[in-house]
Amino acid sequence: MKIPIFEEIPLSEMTAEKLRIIVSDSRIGKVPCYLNLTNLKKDEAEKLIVNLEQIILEHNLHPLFPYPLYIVSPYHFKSSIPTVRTVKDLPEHYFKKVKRPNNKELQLLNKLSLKVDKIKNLDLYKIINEFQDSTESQRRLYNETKELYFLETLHRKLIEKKK
Amino acid sequence: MSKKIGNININNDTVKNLKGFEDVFEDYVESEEYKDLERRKGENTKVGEQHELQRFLEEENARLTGLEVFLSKKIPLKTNFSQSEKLIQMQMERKKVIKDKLFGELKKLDSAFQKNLAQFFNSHFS
Repeated sequence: MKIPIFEEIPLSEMTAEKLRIIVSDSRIGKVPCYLNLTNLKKDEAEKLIVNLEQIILEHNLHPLFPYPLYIVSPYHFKSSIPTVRTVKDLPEHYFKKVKRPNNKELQLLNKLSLKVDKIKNLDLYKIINEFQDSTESQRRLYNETKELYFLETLHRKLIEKKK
Repeated sequence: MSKKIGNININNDTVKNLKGFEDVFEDYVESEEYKDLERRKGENTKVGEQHELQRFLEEENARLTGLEVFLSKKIPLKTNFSQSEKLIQMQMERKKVIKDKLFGELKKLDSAFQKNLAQFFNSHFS
């Protein structure tokens, strides 16, 4: 496995067919990647992102897990793929000097590779959707508990005052 | 300016201030103590760089382990055996009980609430 540091996905053409080949050849999910769309106009970039989301879904990849895929563009898009304005805004954690790994590091890389495969084999879209659905009941529970705490405090203060 | 002092990373102003002390510094630069210090500095930087990748990979390993447990165990457990609805029901019941108690207290004629309310109305509408 390659060291998980940022890899730029070269974008030569923008057609859906070409994009499909680029995605299947890329290491999206296996290492953190980014697509630099700073040279594209907003409507062109928007079209490309819609196609990309579709293709990523077809390839059973997730834009966030195990390793994220970023879009670098000065514009803001409504997309499941995280967007940053410039390459400098990408997380520094994944910018490291390329170096030949020693035996111990190779062992760690093999372990990482197994973990990445394990996560990739999960039904990530389903898991994340279910998790998002469950947040509604969590929010309701939070509001109910907050209201109960307020009433209990009020009651306690009233009783204390009476004594 | 002495060539040996010029090789050390110090700015020109400092070098000007050191005028007259060149011999002392030349002796120090040539000394074993200085050379040993420089050698150790170089070694420390090298060791730091060597362990940087290993530490990064260990951190990634820990992160992915946590992520895997979260996605494959914790979320399914949370969605399949959610306690939220039961807890909401329990909180609502407790809320009802405490509200009844509170209203009972506040409705009493000698309660602080009633007294304050009476004082407020008397001062504004009498």
